[in-house]
Amino acid sequence: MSGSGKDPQRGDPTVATLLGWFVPGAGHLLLGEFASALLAFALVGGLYALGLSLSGGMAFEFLDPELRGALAPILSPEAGTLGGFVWQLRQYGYGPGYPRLFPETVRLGSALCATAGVANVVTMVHVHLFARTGNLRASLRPAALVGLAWLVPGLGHLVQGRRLRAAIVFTLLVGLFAAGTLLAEGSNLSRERHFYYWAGQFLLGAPAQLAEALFGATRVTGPIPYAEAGLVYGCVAGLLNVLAMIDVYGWAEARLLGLDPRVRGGGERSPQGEELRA
Amino acid sequence: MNDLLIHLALFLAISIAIVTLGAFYSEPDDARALRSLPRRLATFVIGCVVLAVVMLVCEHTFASLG
Repeated sequence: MSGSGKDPQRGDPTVATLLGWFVPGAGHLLLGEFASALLAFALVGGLYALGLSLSGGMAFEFLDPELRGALAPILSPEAGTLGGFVWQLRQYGYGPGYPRLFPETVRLGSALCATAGVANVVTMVHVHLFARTGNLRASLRPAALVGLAWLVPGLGHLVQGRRLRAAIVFTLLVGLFAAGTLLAEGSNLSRERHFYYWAGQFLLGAPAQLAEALFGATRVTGPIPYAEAGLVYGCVAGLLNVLAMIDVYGWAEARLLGLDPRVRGGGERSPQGEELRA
Repeated sequence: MNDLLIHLALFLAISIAIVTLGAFYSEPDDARALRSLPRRLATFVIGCVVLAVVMLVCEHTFASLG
């Protein structure tokens, strides 16, 4: 789908989005929106910096030594803000090479860095739509909906008025995650134990973070028969939430551009998008 | 045998979530997405069964220690 007919594009959406991926707010800056650029940089950069401060930059040291490579943590949510990710990797990397104690706030810190990655994806959605439509304010809604869809599975659908879909998405994904946590007896709620599975699980948003905050310190005292099944359940629940987020985005984008969101491909375009018209 | 049944049940449970989200992703209309679920689920399960059989045959043929 391309930009709306009436409002001219503000710039190349791909370039703006890629710039925003490297440095939060850089895409907005390219399009001449200094205040938005500053806000995006302060929000994403601030979250990342706070996370680094609380974790001592040690989150990548959770990776098992045999898995550590030049780009091994690229599947982390932190990669949502590439500049921060590369900076963390170069500045802190995998530590000095010998085991040392993690700070007490390392879990909160690593979660904040990961959240900064997702927050930057939201700013990238915004700058992409802004570049296409030229409407800064109307482009905020799809971006916010994507953020809500990440925060609570189904919440983006609910705000869009798609109640049945919201209920099914929430029940299936949170149920899958809860079943996985029961099967793994809580052992899945640790980035230190399961670096990559945790990355997938993080995409489930608040339910996964809440469960980790409440039960993440559970000790493993014996064999867990279905631990691997539990890990897969939790990780798949998070990955499936990405599909739900894209679905929310597609619907919001179609409405913004004045297309029929119920028709695959958008159907007939109205002279001006619903959101833009509003 | 009991363990196999439990794993099959776990597989079916996660299949339902994967297929439902896949249907919602590719079909914007709720009613049409829900109507397509049985066909999608059957396709997914049969595809996984075929894949499992191929893997077992490969394992038996090329990786068997016997």
